[in-house]
Amino acid sequence: MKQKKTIYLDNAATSEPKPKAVLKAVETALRKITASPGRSGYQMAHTADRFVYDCRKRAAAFFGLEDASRLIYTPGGTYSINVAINGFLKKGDHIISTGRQHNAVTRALDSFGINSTELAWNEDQPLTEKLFQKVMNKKTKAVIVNHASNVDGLLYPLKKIGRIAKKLKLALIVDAAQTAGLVKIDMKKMNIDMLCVTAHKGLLGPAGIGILALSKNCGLKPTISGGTGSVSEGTKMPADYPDRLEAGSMNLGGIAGLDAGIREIQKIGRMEILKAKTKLTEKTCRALSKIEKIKIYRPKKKENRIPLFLFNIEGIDPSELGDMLDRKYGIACRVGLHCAPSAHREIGTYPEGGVRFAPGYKTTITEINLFVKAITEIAEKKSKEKR
Amino acid sequence: MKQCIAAFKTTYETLNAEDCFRDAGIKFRPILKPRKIGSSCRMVLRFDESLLPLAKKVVAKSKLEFAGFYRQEGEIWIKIEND
Repeated sequence: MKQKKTIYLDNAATSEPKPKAVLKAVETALRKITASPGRSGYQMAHTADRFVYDCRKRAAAFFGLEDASRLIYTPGGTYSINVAINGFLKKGDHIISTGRQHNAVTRALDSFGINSTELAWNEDQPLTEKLFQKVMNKKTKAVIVNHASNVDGLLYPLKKIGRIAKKLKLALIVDAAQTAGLVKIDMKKMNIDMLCVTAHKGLLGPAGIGILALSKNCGLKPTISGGTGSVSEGTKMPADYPDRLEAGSMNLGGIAGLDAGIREIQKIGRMEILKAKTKLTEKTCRALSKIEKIKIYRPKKKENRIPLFLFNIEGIDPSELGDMLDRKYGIACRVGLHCAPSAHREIGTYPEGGVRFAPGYKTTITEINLFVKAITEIAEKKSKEKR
Repeated sequence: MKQCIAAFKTTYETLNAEDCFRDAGIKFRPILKPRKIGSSCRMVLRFDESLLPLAKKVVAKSKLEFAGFYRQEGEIWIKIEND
């Protein structure tokens, strides 16, 4: 039976609900920090300068980035990935990628003429330097990793990849869209050179704001040009960070929301959020696996996954299933290819795709029970139809 | 007392410098960068000349992205070269 309130299980797309602290921070910033930072000397502008500076410092500390001036605010994770790829690589360069990559990476590589080879790895085999060497060539400049898949939740062993990349003198670019705020990320310890983050998923912030964090080893050419409030006499973008990569007026509301999201996670505890979502996911998986004709796609080992998974019911089109969940039960799940066709190819669900289960930090056991009940009813009904 | 200013390459570094100056007990006031020393719209830190030696130490120790010290001479600001 359809619930009055939607059961939202699409937190891998965007987190819902946003914490009250995030909503308040965005509103306060838009109401009270109304000057443009980095552009003027009056006190209002200076307050805005200080606000952005403090947010930047906190975000850098959260991701283990020593020099906060190398934390760049962007309009989102996809934007960060594009700036990293286009700013670091040149046409004809080669990189090592992962099969679970999102179109944010696939399309950027294609767009900028970067060649790539997917790392042939699955969780049943050790991740070794040899695997990387097999796909390297003279033009290989970097490794780009989707820290965790938005399709089946496969979590790549980033620390190990970081060690290998460093040894092979390759830069490490990380798409942390699904892990920022959920999995511990320490750029220094993990040897990450470019970390691409969005605010609106695990960080519980608003859409339209993201981070590109750069290690001290990596220099990027600016890909967007415009006013920075510094070196205004020149036609070139400034040499120094963050101005080098931050053209145009800043998204103060977004920055405030991102900052509040980080502080909320620190208040609740990142591990607590991870544990709660994992508990819900495990419970759901156990319940769904008892249903005949259901197929669940997720990594086998606990240490190799984040709390989300993909599933299908034999004989039901994923889109039809998603539609039934929405219309009949008021349950929101994303279906299809999740903007990651290569991930579905690896998993074996291309081109049909699947239905994704992605609970949030506020998802309740009651909601999970209703979800399981709905899937059970749909599967049983389908089974009876077949007979 | 003559005034000096410390200029930094970005707004981020200026704010970083504010923290460093504050920690070192340097009394300063952020002002808009005088037009005569550049066309940026950024802030610089103004302080009494007596604090210049300490300010130099702080800048050197903190490895700030530094653009220069200036001393006010009447209407103009003169860049201080390693004096």
